Amino acid sequence: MVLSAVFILDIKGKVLISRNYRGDINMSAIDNFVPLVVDAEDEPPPVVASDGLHFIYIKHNDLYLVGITRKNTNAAAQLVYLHKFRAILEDYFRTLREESIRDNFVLIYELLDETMDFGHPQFTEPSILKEYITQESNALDIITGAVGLGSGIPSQASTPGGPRPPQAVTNAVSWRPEGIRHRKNEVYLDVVESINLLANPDGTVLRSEIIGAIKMRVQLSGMPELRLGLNDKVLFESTGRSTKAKAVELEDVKFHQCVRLSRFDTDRTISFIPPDGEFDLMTYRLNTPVRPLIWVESIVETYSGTRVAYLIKLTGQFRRRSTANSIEVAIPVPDDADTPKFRPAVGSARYAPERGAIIWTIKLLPGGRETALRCSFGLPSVRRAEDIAKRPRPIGVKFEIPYFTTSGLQVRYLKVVERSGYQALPWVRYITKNGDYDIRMAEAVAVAANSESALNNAAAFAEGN
Amino acid sequence: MAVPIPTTSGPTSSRVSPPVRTSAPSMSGSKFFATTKKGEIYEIKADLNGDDRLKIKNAVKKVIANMTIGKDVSSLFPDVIKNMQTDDIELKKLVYLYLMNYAKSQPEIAILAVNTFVKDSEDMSNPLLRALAIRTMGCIRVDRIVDYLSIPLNKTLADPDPYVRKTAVLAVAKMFDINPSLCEAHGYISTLRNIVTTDANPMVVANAVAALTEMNEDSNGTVFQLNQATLNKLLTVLNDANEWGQIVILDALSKYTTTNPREAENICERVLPRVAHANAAVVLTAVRVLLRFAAIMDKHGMEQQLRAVYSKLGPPLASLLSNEPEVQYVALRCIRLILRRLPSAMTQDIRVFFCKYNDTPYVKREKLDIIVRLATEKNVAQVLSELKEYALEADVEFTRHALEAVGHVALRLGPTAAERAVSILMELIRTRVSHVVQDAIVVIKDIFRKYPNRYELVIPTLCDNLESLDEPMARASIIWIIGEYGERIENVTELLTQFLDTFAEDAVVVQLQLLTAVVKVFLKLPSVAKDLVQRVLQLATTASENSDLRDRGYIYWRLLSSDPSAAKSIVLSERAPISLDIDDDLHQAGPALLDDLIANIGNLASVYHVSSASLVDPDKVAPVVFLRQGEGDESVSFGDAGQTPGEGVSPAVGVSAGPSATGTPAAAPKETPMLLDLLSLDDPVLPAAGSSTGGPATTASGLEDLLGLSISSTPAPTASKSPASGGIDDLLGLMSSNPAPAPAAVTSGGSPPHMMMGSMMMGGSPVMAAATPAGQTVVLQSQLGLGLEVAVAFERQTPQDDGARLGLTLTNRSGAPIDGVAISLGKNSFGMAIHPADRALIPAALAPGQQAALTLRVVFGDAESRQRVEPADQLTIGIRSGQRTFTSTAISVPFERILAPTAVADAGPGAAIPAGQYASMWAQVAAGELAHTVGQLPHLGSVARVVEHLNAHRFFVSNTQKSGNLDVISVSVRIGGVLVVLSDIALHPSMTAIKALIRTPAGGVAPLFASALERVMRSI
Repeated sequence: MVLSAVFILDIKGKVLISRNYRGDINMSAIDNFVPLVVDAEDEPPPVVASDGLHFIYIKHNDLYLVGITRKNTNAAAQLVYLHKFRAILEDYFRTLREESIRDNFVLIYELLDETMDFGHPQFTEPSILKEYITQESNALDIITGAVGLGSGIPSQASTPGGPRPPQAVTNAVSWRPEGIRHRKNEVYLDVVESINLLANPDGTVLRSEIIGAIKMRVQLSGMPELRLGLNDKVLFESTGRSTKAKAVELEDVKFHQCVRLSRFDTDRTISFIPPDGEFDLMTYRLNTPVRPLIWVESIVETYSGTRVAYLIKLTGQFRRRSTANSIEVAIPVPDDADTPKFRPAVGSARYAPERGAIIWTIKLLPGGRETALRCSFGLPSVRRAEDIAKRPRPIGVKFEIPYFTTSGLQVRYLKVVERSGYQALPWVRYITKNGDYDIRMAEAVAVAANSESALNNAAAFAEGN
Repeated sequence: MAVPIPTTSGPTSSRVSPPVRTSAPSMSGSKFFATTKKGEIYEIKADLNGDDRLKIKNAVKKVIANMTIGKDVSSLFPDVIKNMQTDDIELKKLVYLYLMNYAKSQPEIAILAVNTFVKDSEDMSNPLLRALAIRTMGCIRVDRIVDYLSIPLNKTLADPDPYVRKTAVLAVAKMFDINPSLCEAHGYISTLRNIVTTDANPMVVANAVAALTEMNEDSNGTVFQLNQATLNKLLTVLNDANEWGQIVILDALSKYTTTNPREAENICERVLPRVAHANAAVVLTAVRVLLRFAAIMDKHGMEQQLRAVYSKLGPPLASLLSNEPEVQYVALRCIRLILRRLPSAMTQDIRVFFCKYNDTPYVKREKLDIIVRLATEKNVAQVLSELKEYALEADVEFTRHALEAVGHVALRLGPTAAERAVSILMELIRTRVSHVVQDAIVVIKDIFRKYPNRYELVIPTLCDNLESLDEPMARASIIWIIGEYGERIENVTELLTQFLDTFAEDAVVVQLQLLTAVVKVFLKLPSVAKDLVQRVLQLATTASENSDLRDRGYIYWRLLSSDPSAAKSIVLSERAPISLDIDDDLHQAGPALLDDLIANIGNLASVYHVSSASLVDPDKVAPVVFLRQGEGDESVSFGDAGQTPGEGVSPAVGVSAGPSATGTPAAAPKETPMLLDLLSLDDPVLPAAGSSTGGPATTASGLEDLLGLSISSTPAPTASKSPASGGIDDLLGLMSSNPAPAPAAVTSGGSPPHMMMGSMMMGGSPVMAAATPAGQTVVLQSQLGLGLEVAVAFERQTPQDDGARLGLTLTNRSGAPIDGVAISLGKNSFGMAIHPADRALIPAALAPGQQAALTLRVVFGDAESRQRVEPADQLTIGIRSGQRTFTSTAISVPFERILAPTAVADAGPGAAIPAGQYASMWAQVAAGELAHTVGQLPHLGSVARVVEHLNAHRFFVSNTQKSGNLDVISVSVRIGGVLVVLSDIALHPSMTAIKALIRTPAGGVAPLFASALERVMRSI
């Protein structure tokens, strides 16, 4: 499970920085990477081989992070490592771009050495690394005020004789240093559910899943033991609890490394010593069919191949007490659309040629309400039938619905136990938002220029509403 | 905004600068690149030697920055190293960083660092310092430093601080990598085994396991075997280790063997919770362990426990798809393997594999394959309508794969599915999107072949689209359909005439197909197609330059004129049914390969779908053998190593003779980014491409029969024995625009795939380029030489040459004449000089634009003329032009081109040292021994061939002998009358790797010999 060397390259494949961990490859081997990946026409897979060497790479902004190995290494582990390393750099520099590498050679060398030794990934917890890898970093944008979360973390930079490795690095609890103090002990818990949905224009849902995450912000002193109770169906059934209250079947859960997995496996208890600050405690995925919370209906008409008209209808299909916020609907139009005109019934719309779409934004949409946008544009050249038959990109929708989870997941309790016996207040929020939320466009209907179109009728209907 | 780092305090208690969040605006790293007129290196040097700590630190930072951008700052070595002994840990880290990079170039000075390392490793005030010392020292791959590594290693392995121990444990692996016998001599291997069982810290244990596992791989499994006690320890540590430690431990568990079903059950129980880990690699490696031990439970019929494990695999695997695309890709490749083993693992989850429009192309392709795999009678409607959506997306490549997937589903699931597929394809054809129509027709043709005489009703619609077909495969496919169903198409002659009109412009594959189709239609409807057949035979035999087309034309012609009824029975014969399965290849490769791949889930082998044996690091194979040679059981260890490459490739070779591999060459151009995948047997494109050649292929086999019939009077058993494959190969040769690498790879036989590629790529490597006159190095640029450009290269010696040959090209690139030109060789380690007689050959004057290319003899002087230069093979050339003298940039002398024509003093050319004498000399020259391994060589052929090749390159062979199953060749070389190197070269039985033991009385020459030998062997 080893890498021979790690490289960071710019977008053209030029080496910005590299670390040779094992001395068993020629560092010029990276030259093969450019023809293999950088110059390749479409995006090659993240694992490619050349000349007995294997290149494992990820791409991020204008950078490639590449690992080279000559062994049958654990590709999954190395790809995850590269992503974690990327995350560490982002944590240090906020945005990770070519310049951030050029400005921080010394720090990056240190991080490369600390996170990987002889090609074996070692330790990738950014908050702990920051305690003892304290080279100045040059963030791209000037940072005002304190960064991030850990004002409670004691900095070791001022220890005489230089920094030391925090105990946490090698401890079983490798994510939390000892001796954290907060004046106010508080825990914030956000249950965020993202809806991935793909639907056909006729309303059939092709794919729907709920990706949920419990995000925490922890400001607790000492080494607190936390226990989280959810309305977990399996737990309810095993304890013989009446299932009158709605329970959720959590079949596919992934936990932050702080959660005791073996404990969860035996009695479904979620117990953990949390890291300080923000982290995702768990993620879950539910494959249950979801009714589209926001439904978008489209009618597309073409007039003799030179003019196209859309009618987009938006319906909030969630309970009336709730309200969807910050809705953004991206309606794709052809790249060469000429003078798009649009008339939203509510909210505002603009043409975003860089995205090839009309962006319709609505601040608030109460449940059960319906609204519409009409839009039309010209086409500079007459389309052949086949171009019109080409499926355009789907309509993408962004939204947030607070105080509401689609799955019905609820936090029943969050217990905090610490030796000093302080009281901690948990704050819980629920929110449902879009994930990959796409609804395909209806097929275009050709209309003779002067005939009465269905669209006009429908539009009149929608506006009358 | 360049603000200096806050001043450090007194010399005794230096402080590091505060971390970013509290610091004042920090210095921009770009400042380290600021150049001044006086010469940056000069200034840095001054700063490094000053007293100002701040300046020193910034100077070292500048050095590091320069090092990073590729500038050579090795000249500052002593200046940087002397700052190593500091109590400023930040400065120390910087110096170490520099040291790791340049230690190899200056081992004599680097050795001075040992004291500091040892001292630091004993500094009980700061564990970071101790760990840093041992980590850095292990990274310096200089033999003499490694010799001292044991001093700090002994202490740090028993350090009270786990951070130091976890670092020291890996340093053992570092030492083993460079000098395994030293590592063994100090007993570190058993120390590590002890640490695994006794150390309380999870990270230390995990790193010890990592080190042992790695050493184990490099020593054929003699270092580390899990037993009951260690197993329990690891299962306990699994809960406490960090994510990387968990992966290491799971990896070790996946290699544990047990036959006890209870034990297997216990392991599964303890590992099962890991599938809920957020780190995808932990999940995949855990799944690997689970599948391994589930198999043991399966053998013992533990149905219930087995189901408990299997039922928990599906959801976590599906949720791996919410990771980053790169991780998704690895997960998808592994899921394909798992589905092969457990087809029911994720049937209910097919929708998680539906493509998102913004998925990366490689993820989409993998998803498509899994969708095909998971398609059943039940979900076929859903799957096909999803595939139809993909077929209308904007990405042309993806739409093609989607259409191919429609074909696969139809062929896999049977007639009902095929019916749905045809109707979907017809819908797509009606969209008239050109490339969709063309690809759909290719797919429809496959369905026609599999289910003949079912869907003729759609033919008229297909024929409506004739004019839009411009891709050869699509045209060939529709022509095949027309030929096949000619009697039921009303305007068949009209259609064929249309095609015949453009016969000359069409691709050969279309022409061949048209020829066959017309003949078929003629045999069915002689009256209607009489003129047509005349015309097509005429065109094929007279108007074409393609010999296959002409041959086929002639054969048909003769057949039709001699025996029409025989023609009918041959041309219209029943075609063998085609069957396609995306994973057929994997299936054919046999359960052994699948077992191997499942045992490697998450590893590269499982991503490439090639056997793990074929990924064995070739450089690591040979050393192991040598390590064990003394113990007398090398045959065991080598048996393994020698076999593995063969095993690795056999499935590929086996399948390439079979039907699915016929697609390989056609698919090759698409596969360029991943050559390995060519040989991977699980490529969905292959069967598709294979199938699309199905039409022509059958006619080809008919053709072979025909040859047997009409040309030779006997039934010719040899010809009919291999009709299918022979015919197909021929045809493919025509069809693929690219003379695909795959067949070439197959012919090279028993070496693993990546080795083949190695040899293929070698052709273009710079080493080879040096052989051509064009390979001369410009040592003086015309801009620097006032118009004079000088290029040199050592040329290959001819057998008569006593010394070496230096090719020299002088070019006057200025507009004015150049005179007073003189050339001489600078001081060098070999005492080389230009032959006095040849000096006169150098033209003294060059007209503008004139170029003089000559070859000069180089002679070798006596001991006094030899001057040690660093590196030893460096040579500069003194150039005089007019009143000015220049020193050229240095070139490396290619060692293999300056060798003496004999290995024995005062003997004639070509003489080698007698075997007996060699042995005694070998014993005498104990010093300067170096072991060098070269892997991935082109296949060396035979021992005799290697000997001949070596002799020809003046590596004179004294003796060859067998040692175990190794062939060892003893060679010696001389330079300028002095014996320079003795070497025993062992050939790996695969004949693709060698290992040389090199002994030399002349220090510093061994590495030169090693690289020269490598170049020579590669050129075989």
